[in-house]
Amino acid sequence: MKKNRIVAGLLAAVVSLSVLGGCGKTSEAPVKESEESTQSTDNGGEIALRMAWWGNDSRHQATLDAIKSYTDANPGVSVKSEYNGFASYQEKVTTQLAGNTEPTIMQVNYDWFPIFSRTGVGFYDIYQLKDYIDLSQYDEEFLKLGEIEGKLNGIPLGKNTLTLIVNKSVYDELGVQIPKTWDDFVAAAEKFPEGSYPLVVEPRLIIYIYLQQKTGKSLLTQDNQLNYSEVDYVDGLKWYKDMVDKGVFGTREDYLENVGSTYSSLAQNQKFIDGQYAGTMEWSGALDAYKQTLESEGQELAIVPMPQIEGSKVSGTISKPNMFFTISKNAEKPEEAAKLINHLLNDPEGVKLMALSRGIPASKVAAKTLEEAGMAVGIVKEATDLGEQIVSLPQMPNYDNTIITETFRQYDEAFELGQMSLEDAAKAIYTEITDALSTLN
Amino acid sequence: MQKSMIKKHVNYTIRYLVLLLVAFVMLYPMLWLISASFKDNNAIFTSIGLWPNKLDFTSYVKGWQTGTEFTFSTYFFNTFKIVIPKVIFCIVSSTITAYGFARFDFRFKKALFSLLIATMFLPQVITRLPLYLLWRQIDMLDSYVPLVINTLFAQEAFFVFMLIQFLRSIPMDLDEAATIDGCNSFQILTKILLPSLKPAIMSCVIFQFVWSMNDFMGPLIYISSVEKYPVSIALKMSIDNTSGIVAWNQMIAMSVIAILPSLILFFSAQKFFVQGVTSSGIKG
Amino acid sequence: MKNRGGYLYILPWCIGVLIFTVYPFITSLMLSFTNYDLINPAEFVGLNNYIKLLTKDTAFLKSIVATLQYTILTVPMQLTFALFIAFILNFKIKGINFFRSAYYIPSILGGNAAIAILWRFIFRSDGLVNQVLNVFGIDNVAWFSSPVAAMFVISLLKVWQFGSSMLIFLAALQEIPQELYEASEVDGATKLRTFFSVTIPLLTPTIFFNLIMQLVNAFQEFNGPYLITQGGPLKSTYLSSMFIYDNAFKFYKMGYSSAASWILFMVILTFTLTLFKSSSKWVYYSDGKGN
Repeated sequence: MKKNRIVAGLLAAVVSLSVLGGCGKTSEAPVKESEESTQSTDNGGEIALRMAWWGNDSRHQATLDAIKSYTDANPGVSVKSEYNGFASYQEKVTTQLAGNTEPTIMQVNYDWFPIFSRTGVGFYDIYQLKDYIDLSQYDEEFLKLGEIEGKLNGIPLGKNTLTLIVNKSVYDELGVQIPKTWDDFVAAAEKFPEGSYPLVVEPRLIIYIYLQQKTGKSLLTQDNQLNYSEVDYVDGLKWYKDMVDKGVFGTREDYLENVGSTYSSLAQNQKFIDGQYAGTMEWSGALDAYKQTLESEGQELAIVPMPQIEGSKVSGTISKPNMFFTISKNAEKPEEAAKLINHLLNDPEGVKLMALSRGIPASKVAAKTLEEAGMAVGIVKEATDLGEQIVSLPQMPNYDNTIITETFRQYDEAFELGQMSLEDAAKAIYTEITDALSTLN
Repeated sequence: MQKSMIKKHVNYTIRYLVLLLVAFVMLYPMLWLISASFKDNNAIFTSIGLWPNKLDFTSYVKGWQTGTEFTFSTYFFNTFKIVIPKVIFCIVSSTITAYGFARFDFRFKKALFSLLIATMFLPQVITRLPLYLLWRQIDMLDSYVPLVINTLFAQEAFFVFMLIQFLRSIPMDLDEAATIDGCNSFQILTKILLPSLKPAIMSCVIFQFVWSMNDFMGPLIYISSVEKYPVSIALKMSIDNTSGIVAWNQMIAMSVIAILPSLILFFSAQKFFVQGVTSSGIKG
Repeated sequence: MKNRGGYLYILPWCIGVLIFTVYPFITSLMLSFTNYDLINPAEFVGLNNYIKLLTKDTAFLKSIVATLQYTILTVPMQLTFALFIAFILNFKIKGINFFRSAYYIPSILGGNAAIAILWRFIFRSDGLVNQVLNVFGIDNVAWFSSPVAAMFVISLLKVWQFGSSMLIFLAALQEIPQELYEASEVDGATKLRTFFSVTIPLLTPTIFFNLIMQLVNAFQEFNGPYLITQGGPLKSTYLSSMFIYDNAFKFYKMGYSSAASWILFMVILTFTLTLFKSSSKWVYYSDGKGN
């Protein structure tokens, strides 16, 4: 009897839940106009936009300046900037999207698209705004990466390419040539003292590059199916572990002790500064920090083209769009948001102020403007150019999905620490990623 | 006589040595932070020594100015606009609620007390979203109201529970005597019980102050205008190592300054904890 | 005092609880029976989340075990330490303000990001802790790659931040009438005996409070593992609160995460209920009302 009453109570709760429309999520309900509302409000003829991004001081300053140059030229427009560090930016944005209070313009990551806009209606379709944003400045294929089911959810700002970098000064000191092939790396590793490694890389990424070269395919198919087999995973993990045993890649124990359990930037890590981590692999857009760190130690950073494995089917590495600007689906005057984005991305005035704060711009006119102004210089430019020369397969946004990356990380760690056999780890990775993908579709 | 004097001195010395050793372990992080705030960014991670290679206040000056539209003066001012009302509301409302629970009998008291305790069992991660939606409905987002208002209703069970425990350690005789003298129940609280509660209330002030100063998630979710950011958010607003190096020395310098208000408060609150037991009062 | 005046005093709290607690609690309870990714409407799945958590999800069960280990490791250690230090710092000794402040500083630092850097810094292979160990002839300990050691490191962080409990004990010691010590002294009791026969019994309400609060906090600990070990190695320090956080805001399984929270809720409830039941046997209230 009592049991029945509990079940009835639960059902009643659930009914009221569905009445609430998904638990307080009143996506259809109009949001009241308020300071926090996402709408570009119209108070006394003034158009108020909100724009959010994450970054460091130099990105904040550059963006604020570029926005100011727009509002100076358009006195009827005011822009409220909501910028922060990367910590918890995603959580904040998620909460805002769940409450329909998101800013008019938002900087988002590639892998957030399947979460925030599974069917393409989570953000405003920018194709509708092509009169206000010059989309012809973008390579058609590249722009399409922002497309979900035919709707342009975001404008990709630039391209990120996984790039190998090494501390040249360490090699000079050891009297070793900078390696070009994996064999070179193995040979170089023999000269490294204990606790020092030629490369410290995230296993998932380097294994995916290995598997991409081996199979000629990227991780996921267009419809989010896994391209690699269990055997591929066995092969990849084995290759990685072999390189660890030969001293090329740092050991898991060393990484745990000196960096952490999850993968993070090494740019300000003690062992990287000291030259004990003599190289790593990083997205091209994030290389500046490494260069600055080594420069202040009087050391030199060098880019190494990604080595090819024997019988490689596809040259090169992995690339993806670095980040996107999106427009809120609740925006009242999306064309005003579009105009501002156009100023920041395609107008020479805005472009020069934005400079390289978000990598080398994908916009052709922006790239040209910076080139002509002599502003497109430095390591990020170098890596981007290198990335342009090689074939890289397009990656699906779910490539970086947290469940998938975390699954890989967990079993790779267990394997590397000897808690799981190679076969078991590969099997677990394969089956669990396949499972996760089925729930994501 | 001589022997016991020596013993006393040895005891005394040992006690101080232990206290100093523990104090060093406790203080080391603070010393490290101060020293790191004077180092350059690489040295923070590589040099073990506490002594900075130069006494250079650049990181303090630059950190205070920030790379944003506002300086830390704004952020500190904002923090106090949140923290001070929170402390006042919390103390008043929690004391009153605790008094109700500790000194009165009423129906459903046990059930309500259980509810009070149980409110602490669910992680805040889970309750944050419904509350966010609630505040959206009544148009209070991007203001300090959602951060402060719950303290007006004694919603932090920690403080209520703590004060209940302290009130229950005060004998009832005092209340009864006061009732005979014609005090009403509110006067009993203010005139009889409050003086005895002073140390407990002072600890509540310190806790609420320190915790509100450090609160990051609350302001992060509710505040979106940079001009309204408190210090806890401002400290992290330039940390993003994908867009360049993080100026850790500036961040640490500002952290050191952000600790000072709490430290000063704690230090000056000492006079509420002075009753103490005289060292000679108990045999060694 | 048996009167209804009590309602008047707790009225504000009652109103607040309906808005700020009951409402979000019910919402999260309802969500726990759904699949909800925060963006798309929630979808009712019955008890599926609970069944999956309790029967299939080894990561969750492991996180509960880790949380229990963490709780058992930290709560008694922190409590004893806090009580001991508070007792010493209640004597009128020279520099008492300095010592009290020094001991409270770790609690002020809280979850500051710089603490993460520092903590990794002192425990890394050539860090301060290993250097000290070497002086005593002990080999380097791999603090972050061994599951046992990593659990110890985050527990130590918790114990190190014992300042709040210490302060509560200090406040409670102020309430103990001076005469009781003097009477005990006249009886010829030693300091140790006075401590156990006078101080401890009078402190039991405060000990009880600290015990409950430490327990509740330990079960929901997030900062330590989040900042320092990120739950590793091999998920050994992946506490329940991290599981809940990750599922809510990293994996976008709000319904699943809510269900995990309610299971954690039940675990904490069981422990606190047991303690409340036991309290009638060892907690002495001076108001003479019993428990």
